[in-house]
Amino acid sequence: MLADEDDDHRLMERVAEGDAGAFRTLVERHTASLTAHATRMLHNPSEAEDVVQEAYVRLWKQAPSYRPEAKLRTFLHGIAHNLCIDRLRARRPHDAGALEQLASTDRPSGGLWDREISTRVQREVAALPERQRAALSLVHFEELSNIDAAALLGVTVEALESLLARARRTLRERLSEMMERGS
Amino acid sequence: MADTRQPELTLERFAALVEAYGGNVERFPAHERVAARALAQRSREAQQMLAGARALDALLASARAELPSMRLERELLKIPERHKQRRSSASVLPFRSRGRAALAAAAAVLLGVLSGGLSPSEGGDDPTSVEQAEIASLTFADDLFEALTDEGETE
Repeated sequence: MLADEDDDHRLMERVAEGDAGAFRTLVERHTASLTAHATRMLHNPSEAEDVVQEAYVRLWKQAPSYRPEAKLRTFLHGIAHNLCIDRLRARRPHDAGALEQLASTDRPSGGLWDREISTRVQREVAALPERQRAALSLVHFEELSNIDAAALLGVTVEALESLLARARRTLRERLSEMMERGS
Repeated sequence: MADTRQPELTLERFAALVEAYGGNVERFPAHERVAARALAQRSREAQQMLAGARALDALLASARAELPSMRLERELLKIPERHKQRRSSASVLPFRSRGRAALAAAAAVLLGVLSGGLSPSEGGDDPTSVEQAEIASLTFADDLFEALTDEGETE
């Protein structure tokens, strides 16, 4: 992981000089994770991709002023996350269309039951309160460190752990039947 | 010699870690993993906590992330071309030679128009400020590019 971070910083130095090849490497390295997080936050794959695209535009434009104090991965997730928050704020409340779109998205094959589980879990994650969803997505799914995730969300580590615990508690309650079937 | 032992973890703190991070000690905060592993090895209660969290972990693992579309990947790779930025004098953008020659020719014409020395070609649209900046960056020194762009744009 440390080697990747150093490599990211070196690539960003080259991106700051206009190196499209270095930019491409960063795109290949980070896009899946950014898209996954944005999709969980927005429960709309199309909108998530718009956010990811905007995040990379900003990364390209801001490259000359980028300072490697933070991991690039955290920096990028921070940009994408804030763009997601902007979009969520601009939405009408109770936008059911987005959840329906997520539910109807084609999933990789793995049997009907696997698909049902995946869809149901995604919907329950999508239904979590925004900050719990963000904490779970960043820490559990995208494996940011607790320190990086807390900084990105603007909370203490203790507050982050509280968000994670509440998210997991809610999911346990809502998915209890599935967990019993699985066992 | 410095004491390198990690402080022991209380069962209460262990429970809080399981509540937040789930049933895999390797997901715990890095500075608490060694102590957590040690506690899990010697405490049946800690082991039961981990086991109890694993069912939810398994469900979360099943929620497969959507892969980025090919459309997104194509669009992302166009960003450097669409949003050209100031280069250092030591670096060169990796343009294809044919495209670069065409752009250089267009830049020369456009800059002639901007300076008032030439008339615009028939049917041509006035370039936007972004387009002016993008074209200027190809053939002019950094200080001229700075004068044409809005430097100081921040997040």
